[in-house]
Amino acid sequence: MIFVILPAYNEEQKIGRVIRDLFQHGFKNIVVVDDGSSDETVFESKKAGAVVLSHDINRGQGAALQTGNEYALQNGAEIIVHFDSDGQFNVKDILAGVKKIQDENLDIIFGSRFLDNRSKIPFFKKYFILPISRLLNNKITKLKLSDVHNGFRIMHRRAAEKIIITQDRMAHNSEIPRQVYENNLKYKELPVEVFYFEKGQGVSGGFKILWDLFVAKINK
Amino acid sequence: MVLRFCGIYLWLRLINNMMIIQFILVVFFLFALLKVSSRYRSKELKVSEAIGWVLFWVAAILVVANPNSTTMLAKILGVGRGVDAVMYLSIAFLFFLVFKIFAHLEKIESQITKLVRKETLGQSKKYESSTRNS
Repeated sequence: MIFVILPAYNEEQKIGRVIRDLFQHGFKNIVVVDDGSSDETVFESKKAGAVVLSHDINRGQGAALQTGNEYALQNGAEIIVHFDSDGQFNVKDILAGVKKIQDENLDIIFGSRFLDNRSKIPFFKKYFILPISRLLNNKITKLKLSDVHNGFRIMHRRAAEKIIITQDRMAHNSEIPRQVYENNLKYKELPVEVFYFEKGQGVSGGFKILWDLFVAKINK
Repeated sequence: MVLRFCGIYLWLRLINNMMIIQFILVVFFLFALLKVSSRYRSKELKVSEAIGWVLFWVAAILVVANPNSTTMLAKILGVGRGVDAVMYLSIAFLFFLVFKIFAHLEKIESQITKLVRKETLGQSKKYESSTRNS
């Protein structure tokens, strides 16, 4: 059984389309984790036919993903897909990823924008922000990945049981590779397409992530 | 009666010899001591914590009432003036406190997340069983 997890915070405009797209491609278990949205995200998600889990208050994307993982594991998921609820990823990439994880008996697959040239990454981001972030991220996570903080992930049940996301905000994108390294999980990257129609996390987001990771380190 | 006058006289002399800032600080610290005792009585503080805070505020009062008493401390630490030594120690103590509060806050945050998650997953279970029954 494949579960697709969509963490969503105020995504009423786009989430319905993403869910319908997923259903059209044959995915049956679509779980929206509404992270305390104040708009009609829940309504739109239910209308499109997804299972909706709702956080009463906003806890962040990492927290929502962990909730989704636990729900999927409880309900017998074999493969869990982390996807974006605003339509920045291509649903077709999931099909290729699921095939890859099964064929090669992998534990986890990370999406990457750099393995083909489908993604139209803005110039400044591609040649300035991402290389620096990648350097830092590979240092922190000890995993050599060609992309940084790409929210596209496919994990086998084995991996989802071992990976426990404690970074409630955006730093889970570094925490997960780190746990992959620590648990010695079998991972590979998958070329994925990212559509750019809105701002990402930006540089200040990057500093927030470093701060979260630093705090977690001293709290250990 | 005589004792009372002596008492007031002594207080006045004390106050007279103090700078206003010293007086304000001593009153403030006495107030903090009162607060410690009331928090201890309402069982918000453990015995060890209460003792620690009482010692801290009493030391603060002594230092403020007699700033020269810190010269010793300054000599031990190798800092020029007593006041400087107190300043450095205070800053270090404040940093420590902020750090403690910070760690505590993070812990509370993660507990809130766990609580919210438990509630969310519990509700989804209820939802499923009710749809299954119907």
